Amino acid sequence: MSPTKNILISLSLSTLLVGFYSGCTSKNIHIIGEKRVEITKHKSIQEGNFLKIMAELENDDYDETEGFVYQIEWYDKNGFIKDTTPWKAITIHKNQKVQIVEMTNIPDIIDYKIIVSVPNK
Amino acid sequence: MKTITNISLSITLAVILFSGCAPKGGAGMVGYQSDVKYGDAKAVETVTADFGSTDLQTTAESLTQSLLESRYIAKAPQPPKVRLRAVNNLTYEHIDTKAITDKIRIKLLKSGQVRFLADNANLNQVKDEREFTESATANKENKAMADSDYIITGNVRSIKKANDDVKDVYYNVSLELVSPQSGEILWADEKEIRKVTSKSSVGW
Repeated sequence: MSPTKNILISLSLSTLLVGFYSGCTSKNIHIIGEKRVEITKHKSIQEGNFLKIMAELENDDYDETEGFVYQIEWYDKNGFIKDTTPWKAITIHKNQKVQIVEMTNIPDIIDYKIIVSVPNK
Repeated sequence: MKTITNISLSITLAVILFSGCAPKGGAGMVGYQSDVKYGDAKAVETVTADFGSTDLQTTAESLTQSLLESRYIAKAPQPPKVRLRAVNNLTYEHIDTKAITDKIRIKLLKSGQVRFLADNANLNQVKDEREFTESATANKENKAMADSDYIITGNVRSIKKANDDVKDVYYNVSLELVSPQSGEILWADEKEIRKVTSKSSVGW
């Protein structure tokens, strides 16, 4: 097998792995409407009995201030939805990233989904 | 032949008659075609700049999270007994401040981190709470009812400004966790809300 072929195979496998892992992380994100907002990163920690999450949102539309709403769904170990936050309005100016931090106020929550709703222009 | 025609006509008439009587929509629905519709109770509401359901929900959510993170609740060896006191409405509009505290109480109770004592609407100052505790000491049953570890009080304030084009409303909801024994404020946090209305789009 030639070195060029090896490199090509390695690159293909890496692309597949990246695709696989990005697919895994996106289960916690759902964007409704136009994809003008991007969740660049998100993570969760356990704060006592409660799950706390952080997400970083970026305005992908570099021309305008973006006004949208988001909500967090909280799930228990069985995958049942136990609670949701109210929809919250947030504004991100162009070229700006905003960090949101939310914590559940009921115990035994192990998973979450960040839902972002972007209004149509 | 005539009989068959009569039967067909009768069936058609019956079908028309009964379908006319059937309610629109389906089972379990009344007034399906009216203008009244159910919406998302947690949706962001921007009908006017007044203090609304979204402000109530986000304020309760934010302050509850903050309170649960405070060491007096999070690190307490056992859930402390808390009494909700009045949250003063210092704005010029009618705001049901009890709706805010009730919502916070529900969230805190669901957390399992706090126990609540029944409200006593007539006692709304820390000093009153202390006097009440002292006077009830002689009676064991009253003492159990009166002995709160903490009380929660607060204020709602607003600043409104307007010019020919824009109306700006700023709300500040602050809560305090106070020790009724020492009068010390152990935790305090606030939720700020700004609402801007374009005068051309909304009459006011």
